[in-house]
Amino acid sequence: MKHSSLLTLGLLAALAVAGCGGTAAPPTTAPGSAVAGGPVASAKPAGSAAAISASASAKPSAETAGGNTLRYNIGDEPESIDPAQDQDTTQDFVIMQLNATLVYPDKDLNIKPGLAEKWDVSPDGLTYTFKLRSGLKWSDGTPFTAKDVEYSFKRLFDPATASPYTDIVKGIKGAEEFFTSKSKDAAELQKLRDGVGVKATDDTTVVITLKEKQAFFLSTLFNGATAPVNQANLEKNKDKSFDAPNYVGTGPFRLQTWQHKSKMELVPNPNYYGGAPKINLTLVMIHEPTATLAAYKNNEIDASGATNLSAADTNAIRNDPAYKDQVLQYTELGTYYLQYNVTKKPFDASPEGKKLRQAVGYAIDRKTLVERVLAGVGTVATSLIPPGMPGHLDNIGPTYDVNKAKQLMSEAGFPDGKGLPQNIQASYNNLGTWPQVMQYVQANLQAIGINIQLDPRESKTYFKEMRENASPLFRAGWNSDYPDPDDWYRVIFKSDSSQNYGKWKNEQFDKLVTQAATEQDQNKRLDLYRQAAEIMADDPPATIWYHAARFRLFKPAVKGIVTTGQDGGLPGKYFLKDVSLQR
Amino acid sequence: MGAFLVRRALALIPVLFFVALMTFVLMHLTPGGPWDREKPLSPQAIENLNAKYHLDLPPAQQFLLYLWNALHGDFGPSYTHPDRTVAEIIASGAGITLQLGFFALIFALVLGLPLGVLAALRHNTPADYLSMFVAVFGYSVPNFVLATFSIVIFAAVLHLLPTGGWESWRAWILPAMALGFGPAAAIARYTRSSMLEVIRQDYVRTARAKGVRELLVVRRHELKNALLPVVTILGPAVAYLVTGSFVVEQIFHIPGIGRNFVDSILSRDYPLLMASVLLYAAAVAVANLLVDLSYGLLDPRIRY
Repeated sequence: MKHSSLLTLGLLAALAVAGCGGTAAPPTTAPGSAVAGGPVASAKPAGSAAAISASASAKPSAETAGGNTLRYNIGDEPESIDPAQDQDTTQDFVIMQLNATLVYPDKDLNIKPGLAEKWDVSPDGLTYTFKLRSGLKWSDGTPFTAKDVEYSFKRLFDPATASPYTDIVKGIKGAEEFFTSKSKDAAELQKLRDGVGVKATDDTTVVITLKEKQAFFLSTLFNGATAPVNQANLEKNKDKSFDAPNYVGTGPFRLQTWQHKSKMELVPNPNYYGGAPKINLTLVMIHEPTATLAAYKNNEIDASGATNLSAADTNAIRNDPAYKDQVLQYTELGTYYLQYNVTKKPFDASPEGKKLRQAVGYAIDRKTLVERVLAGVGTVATSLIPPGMPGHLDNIGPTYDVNKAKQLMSEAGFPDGKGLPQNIQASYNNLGTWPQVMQYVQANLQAIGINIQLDPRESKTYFKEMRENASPLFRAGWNSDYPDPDDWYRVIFKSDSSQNYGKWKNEQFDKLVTQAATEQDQNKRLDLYRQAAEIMADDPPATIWYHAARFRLFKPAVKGIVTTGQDGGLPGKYFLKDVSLQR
Repeated sequence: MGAFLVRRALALIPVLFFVALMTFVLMHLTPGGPWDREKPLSPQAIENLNAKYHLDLPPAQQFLLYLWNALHGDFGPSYTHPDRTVAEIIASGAGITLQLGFFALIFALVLGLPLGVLAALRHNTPADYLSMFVAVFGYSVPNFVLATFSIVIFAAVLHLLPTGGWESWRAWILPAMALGFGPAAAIARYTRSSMLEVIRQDYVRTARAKGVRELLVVRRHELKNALLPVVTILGPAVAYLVTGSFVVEQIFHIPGIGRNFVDSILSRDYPLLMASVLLYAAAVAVANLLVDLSYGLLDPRIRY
């Protein structure tokens, strides 16, 4: 009948339109942003219209897509790129492309000149005098002077700024008093501000005074939070100073556009002291690992960036001839462990509890954990400090030895686990690979007779619980703030540290790490830390599992990626300015 | 009709108030706050932040302060994006999410209606069974599964479409399909059963007996009357599209407000969360109002 064929046609037409997306015109090559300008969408798209920019999608399978722009996935939108708000790795990554700091790391995290070309330390270790390079400029061409450094540090410690992460540099004289002040009196606040130990004695000299000796102080100064901010910009643009196109920094790149939750476009900063980079940088924000991998295979991005692929995808890529040579695997300064709340049984501070904690250390098969659960993305660890940092130790701490574990259990009075409470609570946050890691650990412990109950939580709920009332066993970890053992031993495990969720207390340990924080002789320091590590092995506050590694993909056209242990999951962070593209 | 509209608009106010109240209470009852991180902030930093965002006030006062500001158009700063206000974030993303929902709805209608009509007219034939198979498929497969598979097939393997974003019209296709397939299935099924009922009606038989052309019978008598139940489910369908957009936006990295909603819950960004919930509540309420109004268009017996 006539109408049926009409309907069928209509149906087919509907399917054709809405179904498979293949269309007549072949996709065009993206013009590839030239160094000056490119597809620029307004920074604040007013609703839908501006969001639909004219940029075409990448031509599939040809390497010409992208042009002279490195398209790098940073995973999520950074919360804020105001240096004073720098507290996570995504923010720090973007901040470090747009800003420079007083000192700068090399690929081994040694301290090298940054904005400052040289510095002196007074004999008592309390006064640091930095000499800035001459001719420094902001990205908008205005001159950069020592006053900018003074202003920025004072802003960082201003309680009104409410910076979340001043811990790093609160050793500076007067900083803590200013930061914790509840005063509303303008005169008093100004007095406190003037009392902060950062002074510009002339246009190119900054003098920083500490309130106590800190052997590691210089290594805290390349954190993005210390990057200078432009006072004139802040006074003119206030809340909008840190958005495109207002952003003013001293770093290798300039922020050209920022389509929120979508992408940021960075172009070279000709006023950068180290010389302008050779590439443009487009930072995209793809969160899902599957989508990232698909985008990489579809030539939409050049670097998988922040994405952690699943174990299955990792193995598949390793065996895929098309992609296995594009893998970059490197280690980072991160360590993950099972921490104990020593105020709760059975892993408490008693001699039996101590033996139990030691036993757990011998019961974990870390090698298989890394190889199978993590698909080889990690390195076995037995002590706290990761490789690549001073203070890393190879031969301290337990190895996998089930017999030794069982022996320790008997010595503790729980042969084969008899007498232990059942279903000991072990909590963790339900993210990424933690469920698999915890299940694996549960199996390891089952083998020696310890029966734990896994208790997953949503992340924020977990962090709050860890802080206020940690369960007997809980999963924890640490990523370096600055490449020094002080950031690890003292900051995490000193008994009065706010991080010490497990309430572990060892007086000898406390003494050692306090002394090491101010000790100037590096060899003496390392020896003190070695003793601290030995204490941690004997009376474990935590059982260490593995050190962090990352598995990332880069297109062959990307040349010159240099990783450091503090890249925070975004490889090449400190040296993107030296990258070149050979498409 | 005018009085009806005014009444419905006024009814929105207590609805939104209670939504705001419930959201506020649930938000603050949920353990964990905006400053709980894996690497904790110092107590002083937390104090400064609480003072800055008035979180140190008693909860009742905070709620009233929020309402007062909201009535003046100030929906607060975002905790997770301190450089932008909540109003700015929503304004920049809402248009995109609305577009996505609109395209998904169009896809659902374009796929679902013909499928349902075909199935009804070709009742108990292979065409019917095939249409219903497609419907059940769309119903059962979750939209995130559909989304992920379509990315892998059409982008990574076939290189036909981009994996996401919202830049060119090509990027609209997969998300609209992933989001719209479920409602398409529901629309197909409802259309089919509604059409089957209408086909048996006396007035249809009369029209055919009078000699009216078959196509006109379908259009003027069968389809129009069959649409009433279908329109009814469009209200909940809009709600579904709105909530489904969270997942789809996440997977296709679309810069809409769906992602904001999910992120704000996970990061306890209270102002953004409140504004998002209120926006969605208002959107669903308006959608239901439009559905009610459309009855008047479709069925002359219904007058307001």
